Amino acid sequence: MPRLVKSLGWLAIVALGTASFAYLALSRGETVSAAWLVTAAVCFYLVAYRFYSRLIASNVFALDATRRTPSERLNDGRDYVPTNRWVVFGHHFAAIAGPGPLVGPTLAAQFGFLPGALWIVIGVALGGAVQDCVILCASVRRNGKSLGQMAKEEIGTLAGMTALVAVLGIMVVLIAVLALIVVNALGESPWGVVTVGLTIPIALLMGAYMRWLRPHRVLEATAIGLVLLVVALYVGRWVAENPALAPTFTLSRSALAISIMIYGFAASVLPVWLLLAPRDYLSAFVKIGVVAALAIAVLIVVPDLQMPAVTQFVDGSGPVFAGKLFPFCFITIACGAISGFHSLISSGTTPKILEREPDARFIGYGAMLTESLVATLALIAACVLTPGTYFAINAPPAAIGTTVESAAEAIRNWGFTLDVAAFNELTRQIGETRLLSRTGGAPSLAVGMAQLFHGFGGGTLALWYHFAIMFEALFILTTLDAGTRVGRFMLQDLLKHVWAPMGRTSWYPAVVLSSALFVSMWGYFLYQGVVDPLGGINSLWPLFGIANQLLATVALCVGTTVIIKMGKAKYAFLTMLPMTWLTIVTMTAGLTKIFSSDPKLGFLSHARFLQDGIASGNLPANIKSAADAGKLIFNDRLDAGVTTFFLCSVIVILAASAREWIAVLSGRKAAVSSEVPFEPRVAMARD
Amino acid sequence: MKPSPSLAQRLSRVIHTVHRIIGAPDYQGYLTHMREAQPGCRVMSYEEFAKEYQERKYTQAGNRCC
Repeated sequence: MPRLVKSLGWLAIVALGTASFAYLALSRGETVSAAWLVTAAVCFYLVAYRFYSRLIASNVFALDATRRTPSERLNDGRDYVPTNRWVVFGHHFAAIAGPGPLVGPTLAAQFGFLPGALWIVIGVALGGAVQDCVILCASVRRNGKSLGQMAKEEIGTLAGMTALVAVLGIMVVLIAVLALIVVNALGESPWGVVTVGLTIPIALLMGAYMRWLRPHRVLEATAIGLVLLVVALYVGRWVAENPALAPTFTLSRSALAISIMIYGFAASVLPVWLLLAPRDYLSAFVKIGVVAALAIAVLIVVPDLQMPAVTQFVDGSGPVFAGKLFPFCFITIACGAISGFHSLISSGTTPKILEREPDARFIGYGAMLTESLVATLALIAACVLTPGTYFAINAPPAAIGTTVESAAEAIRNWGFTLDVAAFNELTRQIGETRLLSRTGGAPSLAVGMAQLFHGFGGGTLALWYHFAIMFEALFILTTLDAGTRVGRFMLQDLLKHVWAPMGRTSWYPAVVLSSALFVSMWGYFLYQGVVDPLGGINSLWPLFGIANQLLATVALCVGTTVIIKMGKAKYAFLTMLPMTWLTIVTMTAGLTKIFSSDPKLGFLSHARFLQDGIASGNLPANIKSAADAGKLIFNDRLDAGVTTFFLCSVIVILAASAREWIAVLSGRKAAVSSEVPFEPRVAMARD
Repeated sequence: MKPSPSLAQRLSRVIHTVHRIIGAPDYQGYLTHMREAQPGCRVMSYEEFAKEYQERKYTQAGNRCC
């Protein structure tokens, strides 16, 4: 009888989820409540966790609570420490969740809420969570080895090297696009610049406090930091309202780009305790706090989705970014559905602190489902704006012109309405002078969140908006500074093959040189994005998406190889399914970005378009000179080159993996798993 | 009979948990480990431990994601 009740319970959840999705899909012409979307997503997550993740945990890896984990076997009190599963979950979640799941869904909202929502929910269950969980299990069984090491050992040296170089390439593009989002959010916004700028001295202060005044007292320092963040919010407002000070802090986007590069360089060369670590603590708190607040706000306010389920921009004519629904929806939303970057975390700290093997399911699969929920909430926050407002904020000037009136006209031609007076009023209410064409996703998400928080917590819209901008920038800068430092180390690791002293990580000339080199690598792409007349996001975000999905393909290749070598080939579909899909998506997107004949979409055709413009003396109005156009042509070709490199990497890894699979499956090579053999777990003293 | 934990002990446990979640150095854990598993070995001071822990943390990819 209890079994029957349970089955009926699950059937009810399936029915509720399906019905909610059906309601969302079929409701046309009127706004629908976000409650349907949340219900559909949560039901789907529950079912996926209960049934699909079980295949990985039981059928493939047979996770065993009596088997020793690396944290116990190699316990050193530092890296390898057996840790309570809730703590590991929190740590893992704070590591995987960043700006990605917030920005991607916001941009993809131009297709309407339904395509993004379906991809987030289905993609995570069959792709992202599978990847995170399989890599985590594989790494736990291999003493916490990293993805690069596993690629090398399971597939081959070539695959390992390709993975390594690909990771470096991805970090360059990732940091550039994240920096561009910050630049777009803070450009000509003295309030934002002062508030976000102040987070740097706040971090330095926390660092000094923990170093000299009260060592050990991380939470004290963080609490002080959090209070100071609130103060920074008010100082920003005071500066913005002060006619003498405001112009000083009204920075152009190029000036901001250079400031961010200097910041990244500083973070890479300064001692970690001074800047990186304190920022990271602040960011971890703010991250978990804001995600929780967003969830509560959505659940209490239960807003209506103003965006239609599907817009006409699925045909590829969208202003936020160019490209059709397939493949660009699946490139735009990476984190939240599937993000290759997570495989680095699932094979980083997490496998080293996991206490019991079965926890890998809860942490690997469960934390990714939670991140997916965050992406769903971000999508909701973007879709509570009216479509007119959404497009006015997210479309570049090339699409909507530079005045609210021209934007209203363009938006009317798309079949939506933008109330000029209301938009000007909104701009004033959030405490900005310009809201039009603040591309990159962060500002429109901040407006959506500000409206939600304002709806349930009171306070002024301006404060909430700048609070949201501050925390988004805080997330992003934490990824940017830590990433720059990691990139510097990776670069040093490569450069030492050229000249040995470059590998010395505490030799100042090598540190400065490699940091400068890495910053200029992402700085170049950032600057290219800042001067791009199409807004930069249009070319950089897809590049980032392709890169991230490439890394996911690598991870899924490693996962498939591991599963086949375990002799579980009949379950290889678990990783092969998302791998095949991502290969199709990245290949189509990459080739489209390179070769499409539409200059808005294809890098090469855009270069040709500009070349023709120079030849005929007929350049678009927003490009000032032939020299500028020449630079843009170079950038287009560079982007095409980088995309080609990513696509070639996918092919190399796939070919190397396929060779390995065929060798094992045909019996030419013995199916030997490289797992550390079973050792029984010794009950810990604290159990 | 085991006494129930005092407020201070509870607080210290909460602090310890939060430290682990945000990835702060866990010096107490390190001390306990050294005492139990490697008695007699040299134990790093908090400053040394924290410096080494943090330096390493921001060296490998796989610490913070997008």
